[in-house]
Amino acid sequence: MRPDARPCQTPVTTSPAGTQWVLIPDSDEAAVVVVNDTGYRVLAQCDGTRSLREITETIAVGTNITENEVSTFLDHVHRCGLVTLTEHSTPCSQRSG
Amino acid sequence: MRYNTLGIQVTNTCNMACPHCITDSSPSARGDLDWDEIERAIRSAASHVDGICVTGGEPLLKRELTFGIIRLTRELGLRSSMVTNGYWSRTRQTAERIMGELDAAGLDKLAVSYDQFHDRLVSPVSLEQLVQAGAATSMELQIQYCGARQDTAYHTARDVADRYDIELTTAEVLPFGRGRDLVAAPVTNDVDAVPNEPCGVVTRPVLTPEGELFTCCGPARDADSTSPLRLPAASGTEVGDALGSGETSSILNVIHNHGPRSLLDQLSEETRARVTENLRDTSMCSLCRAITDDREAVAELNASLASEQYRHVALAAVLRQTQDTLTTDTER
Repeated sequence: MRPDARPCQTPVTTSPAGTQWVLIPDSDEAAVVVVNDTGYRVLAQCDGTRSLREITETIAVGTNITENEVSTFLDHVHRCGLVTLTEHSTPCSQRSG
Repeated sequence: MRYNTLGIQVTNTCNMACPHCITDSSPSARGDLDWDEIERAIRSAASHVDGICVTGGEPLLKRELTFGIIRLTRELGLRSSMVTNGYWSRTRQTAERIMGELDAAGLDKLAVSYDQFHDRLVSPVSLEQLVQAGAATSMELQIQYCGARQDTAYHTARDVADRYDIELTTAEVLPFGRGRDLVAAPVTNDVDAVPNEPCGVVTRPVLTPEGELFTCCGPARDADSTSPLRLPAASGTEVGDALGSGETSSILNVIHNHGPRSLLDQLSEETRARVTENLRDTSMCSLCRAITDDREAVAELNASLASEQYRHVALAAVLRQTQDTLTTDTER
């Protein structure tokens, strides 16, 4: 994923399970995914206005997480249909389709 | 797996000594939770459950604790419920007064136990007075019947439930607690006769007067010390974390999603034979206990289910969401 890509989380229902979070997509075309707290925090940053680099900078505070790890995670949830990508800063709520 | 209701068993004491009682409650049974422990447990559990249910023993023998729990549950925005034997409904005036007090405290649902054992103290007239008084409040009412459906008490319960349009739930007597002496030992240990269905009570944990936390409100109370039905909470403040650990347990999620029968397929032939030998009857609870009390069975299950842990967690969440959607659609 390019550092300037701006991921946008697709609509999900979130269900806590211990230290994990189950993300159940509203769309039938995306997969149900279980993420840990860090993954949950990464996805919460995916509002369509923040780039991969900005998200990593926010999440990395107080942790050892690298841009590469965040990128790998977002690539995975992108393949699962839980995020869409764009290079322009547009809030998710204003995106079409 | 999301927990439904945390049961707070305020006391072991009951003014009845029903021969089928799963908690062994009676007038001579001792043991109460204290308020500080109850408050810590409820606050700690609040983010893991949808509601709190006061149980016993008979909760209204511990009136201050019971009303305190109902008020705290309301304060935390959770749904409050209570199970009672209804002994206090001897006159219409008393029934109306206590129902009014429970309603004012914020009780959302009242379940009354009524069957061939409870009707030795609670008459059909008392049951009707209780339900009639409850019908004038905003509370949801339920009659919980346990035992065979041929006796007079069942027909009384059915009649009252139908006339006041309230729910009647039925259950078989289980071979646990004092019920162990009531249920005849199986002639054959026929595991194929055990219902192959998801379990509806593994999401209803209970905190006992002894401070033990179990993941189900069924017959887990004397479970093996290493049983997954026991959740590790040394004090009230640890109840939330203990519930959290249960939410991602593979064994508990499989029991919730598929039922204990599906756990059998994961066991070695030798272990499956031993578990089958230990069946007390052909109920799901009996099979669940036979499996979860067997340390080798638990070890085998933990090993075989580990790689699928998150699939089971995800499936439980999807089932829960589907159930919520169906409930919402029905209420519309």
